[in-house]
This record gives sequence, structure tokens and C-alpha cells, in this order.
Amino acid sequence: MSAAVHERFVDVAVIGGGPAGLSAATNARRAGAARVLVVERDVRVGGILPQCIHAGFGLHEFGTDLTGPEYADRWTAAAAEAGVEVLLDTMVLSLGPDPDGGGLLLSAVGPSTGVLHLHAAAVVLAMGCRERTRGALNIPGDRPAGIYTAGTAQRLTNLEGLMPGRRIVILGSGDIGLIMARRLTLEGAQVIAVLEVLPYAGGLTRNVVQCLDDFGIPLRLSTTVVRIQGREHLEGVVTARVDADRRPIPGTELEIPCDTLLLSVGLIPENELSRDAGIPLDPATGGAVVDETLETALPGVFACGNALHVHDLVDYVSEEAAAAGKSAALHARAVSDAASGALRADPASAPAAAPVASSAPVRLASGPGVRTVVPQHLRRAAAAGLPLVDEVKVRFRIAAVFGACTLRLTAVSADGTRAVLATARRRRAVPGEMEDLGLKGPALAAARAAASIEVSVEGDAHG
Amino acid sequence: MNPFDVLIVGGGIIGAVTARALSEYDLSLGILEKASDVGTGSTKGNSAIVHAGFDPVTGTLKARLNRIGNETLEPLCRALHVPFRRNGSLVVAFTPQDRLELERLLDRGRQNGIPKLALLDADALHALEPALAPNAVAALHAPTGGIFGPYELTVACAEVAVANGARLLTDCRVVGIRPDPAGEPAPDGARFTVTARTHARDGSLVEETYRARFVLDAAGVFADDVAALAGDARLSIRPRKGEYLLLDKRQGTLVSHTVFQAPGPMGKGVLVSPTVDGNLLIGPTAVDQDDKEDTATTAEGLAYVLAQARRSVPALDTSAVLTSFAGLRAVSSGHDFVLEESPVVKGLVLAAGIESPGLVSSPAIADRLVAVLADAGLPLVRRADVRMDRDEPVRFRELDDAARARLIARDPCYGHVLCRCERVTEGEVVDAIRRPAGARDLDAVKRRTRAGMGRCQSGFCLPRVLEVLSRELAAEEETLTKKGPGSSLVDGRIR
Amino acid sequence: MDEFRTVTCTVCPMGCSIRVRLEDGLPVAFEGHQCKRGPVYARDEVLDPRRMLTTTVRVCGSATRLVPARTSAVVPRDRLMDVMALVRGLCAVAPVEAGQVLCADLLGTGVDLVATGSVPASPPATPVSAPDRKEDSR
Repeated sequence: MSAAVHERFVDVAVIGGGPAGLSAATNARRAGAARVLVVERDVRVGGILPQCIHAGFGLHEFGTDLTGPEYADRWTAAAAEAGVEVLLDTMVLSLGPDPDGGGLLLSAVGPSTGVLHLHAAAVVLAMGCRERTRGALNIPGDRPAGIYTAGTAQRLTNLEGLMPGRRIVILGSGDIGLIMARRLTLEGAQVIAVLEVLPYAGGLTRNVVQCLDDFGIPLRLSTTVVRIQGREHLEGVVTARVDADRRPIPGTELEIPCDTLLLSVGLIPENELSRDAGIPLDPATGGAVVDETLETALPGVFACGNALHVHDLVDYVSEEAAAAGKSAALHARAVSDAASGALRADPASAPAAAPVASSAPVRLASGPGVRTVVPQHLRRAAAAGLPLVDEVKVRFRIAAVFGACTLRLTAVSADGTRAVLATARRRRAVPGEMEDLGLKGPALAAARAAASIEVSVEGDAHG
Repeated sequence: MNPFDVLIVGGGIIGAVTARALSEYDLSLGILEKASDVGTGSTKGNSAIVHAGFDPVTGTLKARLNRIGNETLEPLCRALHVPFRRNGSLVVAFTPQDRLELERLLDRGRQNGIPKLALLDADALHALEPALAPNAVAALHAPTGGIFGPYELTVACAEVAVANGARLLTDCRVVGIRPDPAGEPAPDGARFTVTARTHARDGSLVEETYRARFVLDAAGVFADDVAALAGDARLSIRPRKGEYLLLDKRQGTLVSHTVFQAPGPMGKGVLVSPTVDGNLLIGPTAVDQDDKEDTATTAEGLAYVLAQARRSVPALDTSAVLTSFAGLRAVSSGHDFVLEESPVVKGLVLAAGIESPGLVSSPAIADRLVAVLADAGLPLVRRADVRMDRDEPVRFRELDDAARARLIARDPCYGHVLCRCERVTEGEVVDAIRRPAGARDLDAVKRRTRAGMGRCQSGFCLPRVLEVLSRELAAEEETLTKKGPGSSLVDGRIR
Repeated sequence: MDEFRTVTCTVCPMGCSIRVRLEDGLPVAFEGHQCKRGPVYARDEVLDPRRMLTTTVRVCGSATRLVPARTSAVVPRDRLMDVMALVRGLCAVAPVEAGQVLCADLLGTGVDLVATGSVPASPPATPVSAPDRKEDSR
């Protein structure tokens, strides 16, 4: 290999070859982008899916119940058929405006790639997410072996064939934790308990039944780990009940001997690249702030999947990423049209390469009962080469368990007048599942004219 | 087996820096370390501070060696490519009483010969550190204060010593030191028979014996126990636990100086400091205990550190905590370093009571220990064939793209980023394993390369580092450990 | 004498807790459900609970040690552990194609174990760089 820095030019560069990246790239091609390149740091595409050997994927996208590897295979085939190029074993280290032109510049490295400077008209951020760790919870004690995040344990078990431990306590009742409780039980481990600091389970009811109840694994709600025991290797945990403010209640401590603690305590969108590029992030989602085309504040950079906000189902990741891919393709087209136009016409009259909104966008805000909202902005008017989309899906997470309730999008005008744009009724709604409401036609037009839009849920919150 | 001229008990910063210093001479050297790696005791659980030297009581060894070490540590770190930064320190006053304390420290600093000390008023202080609490009224500024990498220095010194021929014996806990009768050298020239307990291949404990002319007791919190094994029971070391929190690099630029709080009736306060790696470190607590191996953090301790740190820097983001840890200081009853040949046991040289400012003093301590050994009869003959520095380890994250391209062209391993958070490549991990005194477990790789030190705390890189360790050590993955015997990472294979 | 069982419905996110009254072991009445799918689910769950099993199977003849697998249909819940005991002893020979039957008619259930991923035949992976281990005194 030469010791030089390589240069490449593409229309759309997609960072990450997981479900979001594969869908974004495939749909960028389908929308007409000529050169679409996925840059994947692993030696295979699929992201987290190859280690998710359980079923439950694809019911929305493909109408059938697939395992993670099968879902990944379908998208890998679709990407190949659409003419997407994939660069494996290559990690993007930086992202920013291209100093040599109007587009974007990525710097990436890999054992066979070497150092690559990738010039792209548009970029899709699809880096996925990472797991919250023990440090984020500040659990006191020593730092022995035997403490893993659930996803790391899943990789060890399902891809490396290594058994994390034999007597296991799981903190957090997110779906990965529940799935691992069943997986390790089937492999002969004793899962002593699953602990959840909240008063309700984080994962799907189906997983509570089929991963815990089926095997008699107790789910202890409003309970957390307050101490780690063991110096070299984990020897046990001390648990305690927590009050309504999640503070441990003195006197409720219980010692559980175990050799393994799995943490399934939340996912954090991975946005080190975005942050370094100066892209504003939403503190509520942990992902980039985007408009309805999923464009971030850095023109030409789009975001989707778990890098944008943590999803419940991979099917919704694919759906959202498709929109990001399409937007990226349109942006790339606009950039190239502008460039070729600039060659013919007077530079002063050439359309701007990057779309410029005609005025400040409409802000979508979390109202009562709502924790996160994506997109955070709505464009008011079309930009050069980019028509307004005619349908917008607003995805959000609610803040508590609700019984019968109404989900609502409300337009708020400059003088404070409120007008309901869209509603949906639910018999039950939980924070663990993503909700969405669509806007099109007159409602979308009204939304674009509003001062701001509030997303809210109204009903009986259970805690 | 031929006896060691000097057998060093303890592979912490003192043992390692002294081993390197001794390796310049024609000597047979051994280091017995009870853990699986060097630098895993007090060396890794501390503030990693280069103290300016205004704190130790004037006239003590601490005061003298701190001043010397503050000057000699920097060139040593440079020669060994160990991170070192003279970021300066501030002792911050919040009350009139605190301000009196600053004047006392300034006065003591001047007596100790510390250069460039100055008292800053509130305006100057807040201009220097805008994130400090508004009620900070003054500070003692010590421009010669700094930060460095204590376990990196320990690893580097062990590496040089081993490259120069020293034997590093890890997983060796000294359980017996028998001076020969009447302290007269035996026919082999040795005075001591040292027994160490180690793990056999099957995991059982076995004892090995070594012969030595001199024993250097650099056993940290265990220095009194080791001396007592040899027959000198005069020392008393009490461990004092200090708990710390390490914060994300996002918080690493909140302050540029190491910010201490003025000592007061409530104790010495906690510091807020950037680290050489760009994180933010806050701590420590100070609690005396009896257990010499209890390094568990506590809910109370961590809460105290957070609350105290926010007193100095209210904007501190407590949600940015990456991890917490605790270390033990080796507090001696005499409150000064003990660096001498035991008056009771000839040939036993003591390096005891090395608490703060032991890290910064370590080069000066090593020089003094070499002199003590020479005075005790150790012949020092310089070797021509030794190298006192080492090749610079690759730090991929600090290279520019042109340098990265050249490196990957030479060895594609350097193009494979194993640790995404800290951007550590496979090549760096391989190098950390293959170097003298190389890594044998996950934590040893982490300390040498930073793989696993970042935001995901090894969640992503752990399987990949295991794979490289397995390949390089020709060991099955299920036999690998986090930090030596008893810390296996997995329990066998599922298939 | 009547007997009662409580079943948590997993058909939709509502997760209704359905109380089933049994007569001579047969479900005869349901309460607590909020839609008509509830009793259907609860009847099956009481009479013959079945589950899909997903797992991994050892692969020989490849650098990849494991291939993911699933049952071709749901199997009786109380046979899951027995099936796992069987799976632990299986070894598939590379190459393995997704969809390939790895074990037919698991324990006479009429259900097959099917690969959900592909594993090419390959020699064991070689290190990227040749080892030139330096002399180490340990």
C-alpha cells in the first residue's frame, strides 16, 4: 500500500453500515444518487444485528418475523442490488466542510484502506448508539471483572461463543437485558433477578413474558444496585428498593451473591463525529438537531437511526433512514446542479450550493408528557433544488406510562392561538415505545405557518 | 541460580524508577510484584499531580525531594515519552480564613525554595480560570505545578529496566525474607533468601525462592509488613483511602490549572484538575483504614467528592462521569519519607512512607536510594551497553493524516481502530503486549494504550482486545483476565 | 372444581392481564382482555404454550466458530431446555448457507433447526502482521 493519503469523490457518503446506514444508502441510490458509499468500521455490515440472533425484526418492513442476521441479510442484498458500494474495516475519524469545494470532507482509516479523504456532496450520519455504563450510574465498590453492558455480553455470547458468567444479575429491564436473561438461561446460566429502578418494565411486554416469566426469572421493580462486591472478580451485588425519586431506601438492602452483573440501563446516540464537526445536538435525544428532511445544522449532513435518537424497533430505523437517504440524494443533486450551472452562468447569479431557508424554521417542542421529539424543526419554504416534502412523520417518546390517552400535535401562533394539527388515541402508551404522528396536506401547511408546534400527551399517567 | 545484586520488592512507581536508575550499572536486578502488572497499587489511584512543593514541612525529606523532583521529573518523562504538562496549580481561597492559609503556604513555599509563587486577587484569578466559583476570592498560583502519567512512567521505567536486563517477576507476593545468620554474606555473596507466592499454571499457589545481596523494600502500603518479614518491625504504614471521579473529555477543559481548595478545618479539600489525557479528575477523599487492599469506592465518598468539586467549579457536569476509583496512600507514622538502610537488618534498604508528594519526588527518591545502596556497599559500575530511554510508543490519536498514512503503509495493524472512543489501533495494542514488561491482561493494555478508557468503558473494544491478547500470547480467550489471577473475564465457551 | 390461571397477553403492547377459568383443565371463561385477540391467545397459552427458539450452532471448518439458528416453527415451551441440550452437541460443517436445515425434526417435534446466517468455509484467520515477539524476561 502507498504511504500517501488517498482521495475519493462520491455523491453520498454514509457513515455506518448498520440497519440505518444500509437503508439510507439503498434509498439514496434509489432516489438517483450516482455514487453512494457506506463506510463501515467493522469487517461486516449489519451493525448490531448479527449479534441479535433473536426474532422480532421485520414485521413492519417485510411483513414477517425475522432474526437480526436475517434482517441484516435482506438489507445487505437490497443495498447490493441498488448499487451501493461498501467500504469495510474503515473508520471515519473526522467530518467537516470541504475546504476545497462546497461539499463535505471525511477522513477515514483502515488496514487496507489506509488514510482516505472522502469528498462527498452529502453525508448521512448512521453511527448507531452505545450503551450506558456503570460509571454513568456511579455504583460504588471496587472494579472487579464480571461487569458488562448487556450488549457486550450479547456479543461475547452470540458472536464469540464465550460465556460471560454463570450466576447473573441484570440491572435494567430494557429489551437487550431481557433478551440476554433468556439467552443465558438457555445456555445454562442462572439468572437470579432482573432489577429495574423504575416502577415499570423498560422492555416490551412480550419480552417480559417470554424472557423472564417463561423461565421463572423474577423482575424486581423500583430496585437498583447500590454496591459492587468483590475485588478481582465480582462476588455479589447489594440491591436496594428506591423511593419515588429513585433514591435508595435505607434498610431495604439485600445482598445477592453472583459472578456477573449485566447492565441494560439505556443507550446513548453516538455523536462524537457530529460534536467534533460542530453540529448542534439535542440534549433530550443525544442526537443531532434536524429538520423534517433529517438535515442537521451543517448543510448537507443528514442523520438517522439510533445516532439520531434511540429507536424501539429496527423497522422504524430503516423507515427513517430511507427518508434521510432520499434527502441526501436530493441534496447531492442540488449541489451538482448548482456546480454545473455555475460553470455556464455568471457565478454571481448561480444558485447557492447549500440550501438556505427563507426564514427561521418552525420549532417542534416537547409539551406535557413528552420527553423527546424528532424532527426538532420544520422548514417554512423550499430551498434551491430541494422541494418541500409533502408528508412529515413526527417521532417522539413519552415521559411516563399512560393509560387511555391522546397524543397531540398543536400549532401555536405568534399571538398564542392554539390549533390542533393531528391527534391519535391510545389505550395505553409507554416510554419504551416510540410514538409517531403524521402531518400532510392542510395540516402540514398550517404547521409550516405556525410560530411553533407542541407535541403532547394527555391522559392518566401511571408513574 | 545466581543471586540478585538487588531484589526490589514492589513494582510501583518507586520500584520501577529505581530499577531503571540501577539498570545503568553492572548489576543483576529483580523486581517482585504481587499484581499481574507494574504500577497497580498507589501508583494508579492518585491525583497524578506534579506538586510544586509549597506544602511539605520545611526541612523534611518530602520538602527537599519534592523541589528536586519537580525539576527532574520533566526531563525524565520527556526521555521516556511519558505525558507531562506543566499546567500550573492554584490553591483557591473562599473565605478570609482561607486567605490566611494561602499566606502561610506562600511563606512555606518560599522557605522550601519554590520559584514563581504568587498570590492572585479575585480579578486575576477569575481571568485565569473563568469557571471557578464566583465566591473564590484569592489563590496561590504555582506555575511550576503540573500533571503527568504516573503509571505510564512506571511502565516506561520497568520497560527500560527489563530491556537492560532486569527480571520482572509479576504475580509474586513476597511472603518471607530470611536474612542469613549474623548478616554475613554467604558463599554466593547473598545475604537474603526471599520467598514469593505465585500462581502455577493450574491456578494453584506455589512458592519460589530467590537469593539477593540487597533487598529494596518499595512495597507501598505494605512496606512495613515487608520490612517486618526481614526482621525490621519499626515501621508502621496506615493506608488512607482517596476516592476519585473521572469525567468525560467534554469536561476536560473546564479548568486549565490544577485547582486545589485551601486546606481548612474540614480537611484538605478536593482538587479539580485536567489530566494529561484530556479528561477531568476530581477528588480525593481522605479516610484512614486498616485494610491494605480495600480500594472500593463508597456512596458517601463519591457524593462528597462531587459536592466539594462543585464548590470550586459549579458548572461541573455530574452526568459526564466516566468512572470512579479509589487509591490508598501509604501514610507512615513519622509523616516523612523513610529512605535508608535499615539500622536493624543489614542489606535491607527501605523506601517507605511514600505518600504525597511521592510521585513528583520519585526521580529524586530513586537517586537517593541508589546512593543509600552504594553507601551500604553496593558496587556501582556503569555499563556502556545500556539505553536509558525507549522508543516512542505510537499514539495514533495524536498523529496527522500524513503520519497515519505512512504508519499504516508500514504496518496495516495501525489502520485498525480497536477502541473507537480513544482511537487506539490494533498496532498500539500489539506493541503494548510485545514491548519489554508488556501487557498480559485487559487492564494492562488499557493503562498502556487507553483502549477502554473512554466513553463506552471498553464495551466496544473488549472483545477485540481479547482477540489480540489471545493471538499475541497464544492463549485461549477464556483464560484471559482483567487484572491477573482470579479476574477471569468469561466462564468458558458455550460451544 | 374450577381452577384459575392468569396470562399476560403479548399480542399487542397493551399487555392485558387475562384471568382464565378452567374446568377439567380446559379454558371456559376469560376476563380482563380488551380485545377479541386476548381469549385466543390465552387459550393457546393455557393449553399448549409454544415458543420460537433462537440459538447458535458450532461450525467446523471455518474461522467463524458459530452460526445463528432458529426453529422453523414454534416448539412446546417445556421442551426448550431439551432442545438446547441437543443443540449444544451439534456441529455444522462449513460452508453453511442461511436457510439450511442444521437438524431435522428436533426431538420428534416435527420442527427443524434452520441456519439464519451464512458461514463460508475458510482457513483459520492469520494475524495481520507476522509476530516478531521481542525477547521478554517474563
